[in-house]
Amino acid sequence: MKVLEVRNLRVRFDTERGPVQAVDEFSLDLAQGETVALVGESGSGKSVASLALLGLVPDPPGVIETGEVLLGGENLLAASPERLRRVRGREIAMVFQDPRSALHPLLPLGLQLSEVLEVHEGLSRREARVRAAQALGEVGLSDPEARLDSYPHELSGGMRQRAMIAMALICKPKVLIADEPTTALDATVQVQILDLLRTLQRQYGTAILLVSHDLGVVARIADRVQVMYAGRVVEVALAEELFDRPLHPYTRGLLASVPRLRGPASRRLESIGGAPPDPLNPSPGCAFAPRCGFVQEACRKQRPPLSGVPRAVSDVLLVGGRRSACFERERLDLATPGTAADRSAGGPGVEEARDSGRSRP
Amino acid sequence: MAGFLVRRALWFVLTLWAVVTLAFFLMRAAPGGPFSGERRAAASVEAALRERYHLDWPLWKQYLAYVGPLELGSRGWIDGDGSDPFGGVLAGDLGPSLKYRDFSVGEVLAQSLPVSLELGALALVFAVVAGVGAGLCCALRPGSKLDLALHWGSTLGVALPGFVLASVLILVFVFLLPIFPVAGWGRPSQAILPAIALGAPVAASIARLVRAGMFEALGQDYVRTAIAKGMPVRIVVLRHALRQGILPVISYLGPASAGILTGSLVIEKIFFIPGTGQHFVNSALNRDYTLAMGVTILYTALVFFLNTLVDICYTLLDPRIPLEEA
Repeated sequence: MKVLEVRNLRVRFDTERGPVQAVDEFSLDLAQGETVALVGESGSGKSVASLALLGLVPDPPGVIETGEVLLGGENLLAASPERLRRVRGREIAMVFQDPRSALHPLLPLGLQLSEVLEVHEGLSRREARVRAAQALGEVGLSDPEARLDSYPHELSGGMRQRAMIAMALICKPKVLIADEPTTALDATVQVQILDLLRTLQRQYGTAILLVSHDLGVVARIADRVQVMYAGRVVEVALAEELFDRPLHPYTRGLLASVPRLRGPASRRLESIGGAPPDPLNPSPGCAFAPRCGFVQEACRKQRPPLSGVPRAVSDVLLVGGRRSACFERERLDLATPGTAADRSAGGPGVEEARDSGRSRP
Repeated sequence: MAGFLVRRALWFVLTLWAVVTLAFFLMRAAPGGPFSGERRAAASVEAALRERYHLDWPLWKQYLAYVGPLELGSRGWIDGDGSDPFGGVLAGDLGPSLKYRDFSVGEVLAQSLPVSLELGALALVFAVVAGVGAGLCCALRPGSKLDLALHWGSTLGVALPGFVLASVLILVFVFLLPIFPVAGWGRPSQAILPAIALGAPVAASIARLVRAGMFEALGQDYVRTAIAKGMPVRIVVLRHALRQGILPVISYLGPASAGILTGSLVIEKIFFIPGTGQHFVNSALNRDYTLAMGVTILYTALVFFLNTLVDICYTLLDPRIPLEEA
């Protein structure tokens, strides 16, 4: 069941040096209980796109030019500020990157959780506190009643992010937007937080929109992936398919730049040559063309559309089918080491992360 | 908390001792004396007065008599005979006023201090309410006409001395629009103009602090979190942003209150208010050693008390700052 649909979202930033198209032609479908990851490097527009869903893009300088964000058929971008406020936190909630700055340092945790219930469900402070303690218990904080009076600085980073997740899920929202939820955490804690998200997702049937630059994280919990580059979606695929068979040169470069656990230790990490395009002077062609090893003349003149890929496994499984935005993907497909033989010789680390994630009960 | 208060109390004693000692010898270093005015009394009278107030003693002995406990004096340890006008600061006696000879310093201050405190409290309430209100208006509508007007007004308020504002207020609200009485003390209507004149510069500073503090707070991640949680604007601003934005104001309130109390002398003079401010200046000019010392001790205690209060408030608002280190 589809809970959230985004159609053709365009977000512009009016900077001092000129307008920047931060997000262009962004579409997304999110079904109940599934996890979709937005992947891309800094400045690819993935965070802005996720903030725009709740009208949280700072304005000025941000302007949402066009688009629809449909929650149960209602377009949130056309909703009144008051209506949007009622959706925030109750139907669509957010978890931010750094719980150190995203939690209020001067307010006790209990209040930060209970105020959500007081505002959205009209509970009294006393009732809300009981629910807040339950919520803290559910995310694995010990002695949750005592934690209600703790301040964020009295908790470890992982505990803070658990509290943040408890706060986001306290009204059992349909959609959780998690913007780099583990980036500020230690590697071991990252895994715990991701597992917690998966567990709670199963429990509540929440749809998660995960924003991350970390392919290991994506491999661990995402069902589907949308790769973004320079404000546009360049590839859409089921997670497994994306790692096995990237159909955009940028995705391929991203996968190649992930460290591998197996294989020769001395192997240097590959990186994508060049730098992201100047957002002030977008080219008429493919934004990745200057960095692309498969580039042709046509790529520089015309922007390849995000189009369906024939014969893809996910055609049947994926809304809108498997898509990528590349003129040369046939050639790329043949050149990509995606066979079983290749993987046994040194599969990418993300595969291991995903395998271990999936094998958990 | 208890440890903090004990430590503060010890510091207070030490500070007070240093202030008393310094002030005592500085006062005596100034030329002239309490009985060397333009209309001098007869030499014999002056000698009697000097003897009565121990001004004929060596300075160290006078210092001991001023500070020292009563018992030492009455036992004759420093030539006391029990009728000594100095009970000693340690015994809570600030001594006799050398100018108002029928009153002790304690009596003079007891008459005037409540007036100054009342005026100061009114001015402070006005400053906080007007300052925080104006600052919030600015921060919530940045760049608007209201913001520009208030920002301009607060700059003017900081730059304009209180006595200029007081004169303008009197001109407008007493002579042009006869709403308030021109001067005096006792009726509520007499307190309004001086409280505004006294509080306005502080209000202006507070408005600027709140405006800057709120701008910063509203850009913080946790404010975005509060908005993403669907909190109404009222809660986002008053609970989440103001909690942080008000902290600089709290720090500023200690010195500001002291400034209001000590700065009241000009305002008191303009509005003919019988507060402590007049003694602050006059006692020094008259070489009324004991009254000057008494006023100094009083203000030291007030400033110390207010700063301690601010520190306690600060730790209550910001749990990350332990009181023990404040």
